Amino acid sequence: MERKKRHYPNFPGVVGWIYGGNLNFERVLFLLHRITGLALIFYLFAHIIVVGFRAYSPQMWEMVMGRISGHANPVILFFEWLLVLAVIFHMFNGMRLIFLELGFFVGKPSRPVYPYRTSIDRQRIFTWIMMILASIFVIWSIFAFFMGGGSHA
Amino acid sequence: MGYDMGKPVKKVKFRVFRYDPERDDKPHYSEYTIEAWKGMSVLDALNEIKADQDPTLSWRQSCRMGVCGSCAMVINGKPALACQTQVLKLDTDVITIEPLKSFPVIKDLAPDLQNLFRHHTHVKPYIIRENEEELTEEEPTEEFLQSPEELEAFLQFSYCIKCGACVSACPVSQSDPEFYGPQALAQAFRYISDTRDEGEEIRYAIVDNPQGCWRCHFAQSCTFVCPKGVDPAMAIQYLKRDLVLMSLGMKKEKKRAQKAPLGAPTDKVPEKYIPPEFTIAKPE
Repeated sequence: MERKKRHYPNFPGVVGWIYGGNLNFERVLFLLHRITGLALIFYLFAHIIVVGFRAYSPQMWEMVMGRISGHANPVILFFEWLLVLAVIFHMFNGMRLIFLELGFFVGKPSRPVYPYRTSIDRQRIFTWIMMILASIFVIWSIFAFFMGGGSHA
Repeated sequence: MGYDMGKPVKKVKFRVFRYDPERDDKPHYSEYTIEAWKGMSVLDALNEIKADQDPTLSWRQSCRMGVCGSCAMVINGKPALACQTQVLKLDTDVITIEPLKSFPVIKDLAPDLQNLFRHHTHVKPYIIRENEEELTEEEPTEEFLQSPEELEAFLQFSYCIKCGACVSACPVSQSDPEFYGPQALAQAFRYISDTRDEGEEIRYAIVDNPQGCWRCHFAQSCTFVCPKGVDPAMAIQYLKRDLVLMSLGMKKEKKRAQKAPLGAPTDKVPEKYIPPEFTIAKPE
């Protein structure tokens, strides 16, 4: 019996975003940027729906807030904190991408002499500065959310 | 170092991706154990396996010294040239070898690179002159002059050997085969930044689309895996920068290469076009 020859389509697809192999650190930032970006878009829709309850009546708004605000429910508070983490990461990584994608901090083309120095080495200090700034904000958010350091009491 | 070249140092197990289009419905892995010696590349190991253990194992190779770009494969999760990867330097007991991702597999470790070359030709990877006759003259009378700095602006990107490792590592190429890929975009930038080239407007128009340089999301895996230090990620970011500057009307006009009569004596060539290693002391 003759079989038709066919190529095996070796496309990882979206799985390739999650694990593409034993690769560099920036790839993790790429994945996190996608995940947090999607999370923020979904939050935006949920936010519009929740805030939309104000259109019905003040009592309706009070009732909704009494159920699903962070003050009323510690589980919601935890998810609100996760949202803040997503905002912080997306903000700082986004700023990093704006600079790098406009050609700052990636260095200039140079003669390729082994061992090659590439744009990865050149931009990594900048990346770490942005991530350290982000982690300072993360520490602040822990304080504000769980240790009573926020403005609400 | 208590071992010599060619003397077995340790046993290494190879897990090799197998797919035979005539027999298999889906791929599987075969395992082989070989004695690794100091200086053994993954390509040597594959050749030893093919010679001694399994003659049906297939891959593509040619120069076995990192010049032709035929033997790129995913070694322990990282796309690399098999001929440049040392078995002992990997420092693992099990080495997993897979074909390049994002390309259809013809057989075992041989990928079908048609997509790579389709995108590569799409960006017009050759010198474009407004006066085409300059390049097709049978007996040219003039040559282009380039200073060492002008050469360095594109030299790095011209080292590309079209192995496909960058496309295999790119997360965007993995989910979108129509993305031009790091290789093609780096080549577009290589010719744009060449002072001899006059086709930058054509190439900017080609890469300025959603499947072109704007689909790059800067995961930098292409640069990470490139075996020749080409740095496609940097080239793509410079393409974006140029396009942004052009839309703002702030892009400086590109320098053009000067021309000189062929075989002109070096004292007629301006000083800056002569590389330091070629300067000859002039007689007093």
